[in-house]
Amino acid sequence: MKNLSGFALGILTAIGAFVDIGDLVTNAVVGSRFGLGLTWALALGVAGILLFAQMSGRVAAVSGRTIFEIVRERLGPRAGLANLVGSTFINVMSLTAQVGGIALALQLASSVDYLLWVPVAAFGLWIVVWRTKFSVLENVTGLLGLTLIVFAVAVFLLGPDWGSLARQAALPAVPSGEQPATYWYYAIALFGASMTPYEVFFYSSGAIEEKWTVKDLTRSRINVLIGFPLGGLLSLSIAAGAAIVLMPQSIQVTSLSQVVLPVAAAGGKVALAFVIVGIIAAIFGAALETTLSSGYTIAQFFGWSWGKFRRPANAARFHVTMILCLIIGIAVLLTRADPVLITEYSVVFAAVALPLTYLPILIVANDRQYMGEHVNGKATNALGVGYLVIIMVAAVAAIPLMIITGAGA
Amino acid sequence: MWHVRTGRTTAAAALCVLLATILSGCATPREQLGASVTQSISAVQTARLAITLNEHGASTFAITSTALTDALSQLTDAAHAATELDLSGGRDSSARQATLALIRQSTDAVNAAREAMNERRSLYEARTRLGELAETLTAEARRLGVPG
Repeated sequence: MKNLSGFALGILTAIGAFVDIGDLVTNAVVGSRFGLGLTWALALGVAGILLFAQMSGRVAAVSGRTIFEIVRERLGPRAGLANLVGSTFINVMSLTAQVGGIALALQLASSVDYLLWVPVAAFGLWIVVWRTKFSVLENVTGLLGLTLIVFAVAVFLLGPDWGSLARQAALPAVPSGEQPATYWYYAIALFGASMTPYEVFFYSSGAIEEKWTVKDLTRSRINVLIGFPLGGLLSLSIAAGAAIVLMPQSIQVTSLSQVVLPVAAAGGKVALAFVIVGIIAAIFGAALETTLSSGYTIAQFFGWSWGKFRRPANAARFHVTMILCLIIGIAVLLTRADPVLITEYSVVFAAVALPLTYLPILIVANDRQYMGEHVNGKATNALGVGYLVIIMVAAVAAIPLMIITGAGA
Repeated sequence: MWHVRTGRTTAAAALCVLLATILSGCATPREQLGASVTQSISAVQTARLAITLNEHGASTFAITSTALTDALSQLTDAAHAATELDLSGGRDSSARQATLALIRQSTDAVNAAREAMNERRSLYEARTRLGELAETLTAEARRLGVPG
């Protein structure tokens, strides 16, 4: 049981971060429009998050401090503030999308309009963040989120032409009727969705919540190596289901209800029950991660007392920050802003903010003052620098491509 | 001085490239009408798939109902985009009328499917009608020059 809970942080981070509303929607959109032609972008994102989550977990375990605290101390308040502003904007946008996502998933289960579920979802989040222990929170959402494996089972049940799927993945091409700019826009969206900054902030803060030390480095590596590839596999399954069922019927995904139709086609109501539970758990997990990440980053920047391991009364400003972020999310959603659209924008803006997150992690992971003998090796550094180049290109190209393609329309 | 001038030239060149790229990405009215038709095909096919799954007992009432509501929103967006197009020629204008008429028929068909489902009536008729509309919309998309 202890081992099981030991792996839960990685699984929760992966299920919650990889298969959040952004990933569900983006992968289904991509699958329905490009088939498996963007698998390379997903693989690139999975490898990137493996590299940097492993780095941030190591920094937290060795130094006993989170990425955000060290960034402020090591790079100074200005760099820290730029990082804070960028990541808080993305966190709140992601949080808004996740709350909307929970409401949309509850609408799928009940057919009651999602707007009525928005306050319920936000209240549920607040209660869980306020009252529930970190270990319970990660175990329950992580394990329930595993029911999303039904997406992978559905692909097998649909009996696809495996050769055709393999060709789409191995020989990527822009399908007729789609523009190259749209293809690249969604490549960046997939990459951004896979490497969302809140994943590493949550992972490194979670490591502190669980009191990791140097002894836990192996556990951190295993967590990352199991959790994120699992998230990547689920993402690929979502895209494959959409490619098999929706693409031949010219259905372009614009809503969550379309995302579950391939699962219904494959496994009927039983599969649907599993997928709805999984979607609610995964998005709820992601919403908890983004809520906590919002509190973590702001509290850590200002040096406030923070953490779930403290009673709320002893980390009052940390909890108030999270409540304020939730209120902003509710307010935006109650204007009838489309949660799916917010999601699509949030993954693209996440791509823009990637350098603000990943450059400082690479710098800190190379600082002997904090890391001692556990600094990055040469191979890790070479990969890290290579990724920073890709991240910079994605960050620069994201907004122009968004304008040119009309946000992928 | 030389550095400043080179920097400005590079910035101006970059701006020109950006503007040219943005402008080359602008769609013609017929392409925009084509996008509305493509969106409508997606909505009609979603509704058809949702009620087919419901008929076969593979989907729940809540999911089918939500899928139909989402299909209606998609059709509303398509109609909105087609209505707001600023057209110049009579040929484009008649293409718009044809597109809007098809979107209206699609909206009626999805609404009819929703009513049939709420009243627990057979969905066969609605499914057949949606199938016909999908074919008509696909032909219209071809006429507007939508590839694929």
